[in-house]
Amino acid sequence: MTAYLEIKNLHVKIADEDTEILRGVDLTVNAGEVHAIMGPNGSGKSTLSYVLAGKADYEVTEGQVLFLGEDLLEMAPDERAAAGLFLAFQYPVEIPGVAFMTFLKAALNAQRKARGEAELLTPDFMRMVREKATALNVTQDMLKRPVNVGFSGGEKKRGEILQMALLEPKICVLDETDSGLDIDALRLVSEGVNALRGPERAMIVITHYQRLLDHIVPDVVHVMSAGRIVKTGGKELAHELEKSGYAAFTEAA
Amino acid sequence: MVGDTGMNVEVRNKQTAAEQAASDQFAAVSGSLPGTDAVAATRAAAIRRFTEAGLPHRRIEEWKYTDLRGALRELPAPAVASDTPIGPDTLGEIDAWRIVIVDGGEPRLPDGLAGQGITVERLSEVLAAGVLEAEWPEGTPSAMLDLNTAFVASGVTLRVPEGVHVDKPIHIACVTTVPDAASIYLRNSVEVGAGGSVTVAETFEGPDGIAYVVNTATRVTVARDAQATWVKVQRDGNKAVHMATLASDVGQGGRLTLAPYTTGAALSRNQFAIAFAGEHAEANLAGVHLLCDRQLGDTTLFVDHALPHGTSKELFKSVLDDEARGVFQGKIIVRQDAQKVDGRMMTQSLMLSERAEADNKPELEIYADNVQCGHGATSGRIDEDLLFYLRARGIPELAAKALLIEAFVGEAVTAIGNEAIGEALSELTHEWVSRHSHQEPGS
Repeated sequence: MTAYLEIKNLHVKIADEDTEILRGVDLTVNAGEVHAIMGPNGSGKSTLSYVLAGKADYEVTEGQVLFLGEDLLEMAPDERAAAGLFLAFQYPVEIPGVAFMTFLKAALNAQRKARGEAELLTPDFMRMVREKATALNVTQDMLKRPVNVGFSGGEKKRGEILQMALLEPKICVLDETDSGLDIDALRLVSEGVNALRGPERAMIVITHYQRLLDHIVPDVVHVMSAGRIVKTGGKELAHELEKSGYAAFTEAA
Repeated sequence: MVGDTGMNVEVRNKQTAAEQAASDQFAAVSGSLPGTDAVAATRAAAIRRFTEAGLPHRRIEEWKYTDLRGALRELPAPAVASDTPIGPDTLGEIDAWRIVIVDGGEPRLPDGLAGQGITVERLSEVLAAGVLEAEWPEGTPSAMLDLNTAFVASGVTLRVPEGVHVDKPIHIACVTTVPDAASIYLRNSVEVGAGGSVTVAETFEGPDGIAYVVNTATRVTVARDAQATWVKVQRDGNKAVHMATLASDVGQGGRLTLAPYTTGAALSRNQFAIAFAGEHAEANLAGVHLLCDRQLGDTTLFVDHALPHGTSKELFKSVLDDEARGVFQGKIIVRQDAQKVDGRMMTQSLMLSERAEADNKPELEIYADNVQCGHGATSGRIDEDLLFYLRARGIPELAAKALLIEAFVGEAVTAIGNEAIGEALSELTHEWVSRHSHQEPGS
């Protein structure tokens, strides 16, 4: 069976600069699996998520990424999304003048169109949003407001998970979704994520802290340091890290 | 500022062809223009002023960014009125009382408007009664207004009586159909009596490829506790020159919204003035420039806070593509007695091309000591982070850009506060953006 995501010897630098940020990442994620990537600041975790989503500021100098067997790096960001890749942003941007509901509809219909599916009719779309929004405690007021404008930290993250629930991606990359969340918000967001786990979906959960992984229990834990994955283990590895810190692994790199 | 150096002691070049044409045309047509002797005298005084001063050029401070003398090579003769039937126009199917003026001819009035209690007069009737407004407030007199006073023969005067709320917008559609270059002069006005309210949308459109000139002058008077919204949509043809003067005053507790939406003409100038005639009055300007190719759009505003407790807000959005230039000059005077004034001016430009130019000139002159006034200006390209966020959700690049441009303009359109007109303008924006959200080569 084809892996959902296969990253092979990925080297990445910032465009127009020489500093290499990813220095040979190898990672294979199969259907139904949840992988956690942990590591200290500056280890390259967020860069990996941006490169997967197709942000223009980076340059891949070596290696390959296959998404469902296709060359991911050849695809435009919107093509990656339509093919089923979703990045939950660490810092969701504010978009003044675009109502959240309008944005959700534009995104969903753009993806459907790209896949050759019919656009959803407004009543069907509204019903779908209302259902999923309620589960995530996303209010009607939030849906009417411009995307992320005036949203609290928790609202922004719930908004990201709502998008994920609506777009039903094959692989979800969650970039520090726990940052800026209090305990209650963390629980709510985690429940939202767990509800999306399934045999047809894979996830990469990027985090600093083990506490998120108490809520979203991973199948595999990777430790990233200095642009490489330096250790891979089961969920108990997260607890080990919480006790010993990253220092041991940083030195190992 | 204009100095008193030798540069400004008018070392007049000889008259340009356009200036000469104005005098010649006036001599030829003045006898047949409508109006009493008093009107004729007002016209004659205006053409004298015009002949003495000539067209404004870039050495005059207020015209630094818009060289009208250089741009207006010819002044075509006044248009001949037309009977051309007019189909769906700028505001589409919007539900409105529609007044149509074709090529500066007599206004075609809708049935039923009188039933609203509104008085509607054609300018020809007003002129026949001996009235041609000659006193215009600070911020509006100019060579283009003088030309308008000299030649104008068409337009409508609307009066909304005290306490009357007009049920739907009044749409004054100024349509140009001339086959060759011609000048169209118009003068519209609205007076809203105490406690009354009205929304007027004045629209301009005409054929591409013809160097016609539209010269329009407008008065908006808002009495005590009255409300007026004046939307001006300018979609003249790509070779046209459009000159507009608008003077407005707002009485105690009144509220005025001016909304110039400019996307047409090779060169256009909106010369707007707002005067506060009562305390606790509010004036808003919500403006848009959507310009491409080598278009120049200039909106110049003068706000006169003469009285205390006034509020003025300006939000002006420009989207500039190709080699277009957008000019916004906003001058706010807060006179000594005008305490507790709140004045806020914001201009924002979105540059779709490296060769486009935005000129923003805010000027605050404050003589009162207890006021809140501020201005801000921004200019930039489409935000790459926003674009990436939209694309990461599956929205293709061009659609994502269009969405962001429409959202940028939408803030000003929403500020107009009329849903039907807002939708019509959003549709116009969408059409424009669909043609201009391309990626510039090499950027």
